[in-house]
Amino acid sequence: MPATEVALATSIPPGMKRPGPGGAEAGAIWRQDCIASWPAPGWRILTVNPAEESASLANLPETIERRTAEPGVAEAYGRPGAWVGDALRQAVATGAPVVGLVNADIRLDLDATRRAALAAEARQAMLACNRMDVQHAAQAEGAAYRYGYDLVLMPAAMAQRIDLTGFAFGVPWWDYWIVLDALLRGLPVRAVRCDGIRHLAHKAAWNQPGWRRALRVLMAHLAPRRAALGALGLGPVAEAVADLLLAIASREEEGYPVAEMITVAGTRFGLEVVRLAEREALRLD
Amino acid sequence: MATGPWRRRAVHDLVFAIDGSGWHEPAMRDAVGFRWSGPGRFSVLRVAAPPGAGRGEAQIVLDPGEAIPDVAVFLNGQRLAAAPRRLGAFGVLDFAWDAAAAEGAGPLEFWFLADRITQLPAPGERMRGVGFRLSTLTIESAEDGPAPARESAALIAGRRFLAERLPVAAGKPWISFRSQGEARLLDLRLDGARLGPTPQPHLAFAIQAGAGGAELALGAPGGGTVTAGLTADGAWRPGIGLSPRDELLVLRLVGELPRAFGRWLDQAMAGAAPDAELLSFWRRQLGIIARAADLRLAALLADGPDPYAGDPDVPFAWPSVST
Repeated sequence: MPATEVALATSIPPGMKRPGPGGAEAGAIWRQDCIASWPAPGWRILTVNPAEESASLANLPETIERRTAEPGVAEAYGRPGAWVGDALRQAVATGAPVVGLVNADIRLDLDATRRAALAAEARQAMLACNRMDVQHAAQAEGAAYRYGYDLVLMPAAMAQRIDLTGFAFGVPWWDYWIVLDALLRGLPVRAVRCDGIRHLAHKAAWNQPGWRRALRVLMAHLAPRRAALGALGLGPVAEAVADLLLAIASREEEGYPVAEMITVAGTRFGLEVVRLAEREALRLD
Repeated sequence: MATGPWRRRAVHDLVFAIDGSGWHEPAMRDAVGFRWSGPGRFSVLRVAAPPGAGRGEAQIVLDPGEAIPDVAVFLNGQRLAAAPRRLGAFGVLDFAWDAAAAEGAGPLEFWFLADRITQLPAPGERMRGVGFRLSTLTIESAEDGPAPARESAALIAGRRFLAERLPVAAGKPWISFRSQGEARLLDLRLDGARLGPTPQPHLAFAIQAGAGGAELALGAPGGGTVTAGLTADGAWRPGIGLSPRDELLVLRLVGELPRAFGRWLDQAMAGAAPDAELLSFWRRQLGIIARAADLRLAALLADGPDPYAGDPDVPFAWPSVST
C-alpha cells in the first residue's frame, strides 16, 4: 500500500434519491457506486457525519474512514450534516500532502494516470473540478457543468489557510467561496474539466431562500476583505455587484425587491467567480 | 505549466461582454447563460487565443427534443468541419484548425452561419429573429504552447516604434463586391483613416483577386493612386512612387484590412442574408494580402532604408503620377 498522497473528505448521506431511466429510483445504486469509486492506492477517503447518522452508515466499506462531525449544522440549516471546514480539517489531519473535498453524489471514473495527474497538479494549486452530468449511470458522455465545483483538491498547506466557517455540505456557495478565498489570498486556482468526474443529473436540491442564506455567509466572509477583491481585476460591474450584495445580502427583510435583487446580483456574482476561476482553465484528458 | 494529459483551455462565456456581432443580449435559463444568435444568420465572435493549431468547442443550449441546429463555422474566413454531438441539454460543435488558419496578428475571428432564422418573441418586446443559443466557445491549443518569449523588451520596443513612427488607422470601412469575368473585385472605402500624421478623410481600395494573385489600387480624392500586387505564390509586388517611409505606412494599412473587414461585418451583417462563400473568399484573400504586406514590412524594416531616418511628422505624400 503506497503512502497516502491524497486525503479526500466528504459527508455520505444515509440515503440518496436520484431519478433513473424510466423514472425508476436509482439513488441507492448511484450512492453505492460513488462510494466504491473514491478509494484507490494512495487515496484515503473520510466521511464526516453527525453522530445521529452513524447507525445508518454502519454498512460502509472499510475503505471509507468515518469521522464524527462537529455540531451545529442542524441548528443552522434545519437538517443534520457536516461543516465543510470541519471535513477539510479532518483531511489535513491525515498528514497527506494533498487534501480535498468531494460531494457525495460524485462518481470518480478516474484511472491511475488521471489520479496521478490530479494529485501532482494539486501539489501546486487548488484544482476546482467541474462535474459531467449524466442522465443515467451507464451514459458515456455528458455535458460539463461549469457553474459548480464538486471535487476540489489542493495542497494541505493551502487548505490550512482557507476559512470555510459557516458552510455545510449540501448548501450552495461553499464551492464558490473556497475558490474565491484562495484567489483573495493570492493562491493559485485552476478550473478543471475532467469527464471522469460524474454526476447523475437531478433537480436542484436547494431553494431560493436557502441559496440566499448561504450567500449571506459568503458575503460575511467577503466583507472584511473587500479591498482584496479589487486587486483581482474583476472590472467595475463585478465590483459594483459585490458592493451591492455586501450592502443588501443581510437586509432581505427591508422589503420589495431586495430578495429579487439579491437573486439577480448573486447570480451575476457567481458567474464572476466562475470567470475568475477559468482564467486558469485546464482539461484533463 | 500543465503537461502530460493536461490541456490549457480558454473559456469564452457569452453572458459576458463579447467582441463580435450578430448576437442578442445575454440570457439565463436553468442557471445556464447564453446568447441567441441573430437577428440575421451571420454572427461573429473574436477571441484571444494562443497561436498555432487548435481545437474549439461551441456549446449550444437546446430545448428538450430539439435537434442540434445546422451551424457552419468559419475561422478567419476558412470553413471548418464542425462535428455536432448532443450532450443532455446541450449540443456541442467540435472543430479544429491548423496553424495556417490561425495565422496573422490579432484575435481569432469565428463566424457562425445559422441555417435558418426563427421569429420568436423577445421577453417583453416584439418579435425578433433568432438562430441558435450559444453558451460558450472554448478554445484549446492542439499542441503544447510555445515557451515564453525571451525577447519581450524587443517586442515592446517594436510595438512602440510602429505606434509612434508608423501610425495608421483604417477608419470606418464600407465594402461592395463586384465580379468581372472570372475575377472578383472588392471596393473598400475607408472613412476617417490616417496614414502617419496625415488624416485621410476618404481612402479607396480596389482589390482584384484570383488564382493568379491580387492587384491592389489605393487612392484618395485629389491625391494620386498607389498600385501594388501579390504574385501567384503570395509574395508582395510593390508599386513605385512612394517614399520609403510612406511605403511602410501603406504596408501597415494593408495589414489592417482583415480587421477593417471584420468591423464592416459587424455593422453590415446585422439581419442580413449573407453570401457565406463570398465573405469567406474575401476574408481569406485579405488575410493573404495582409500577411504578404506584413512580410514586406518586416523585410524593409530589417534590410531597407534606415527606418529612423527622416521626420515622422512629414505628411504622407501621394505620388504625383499614377504608378
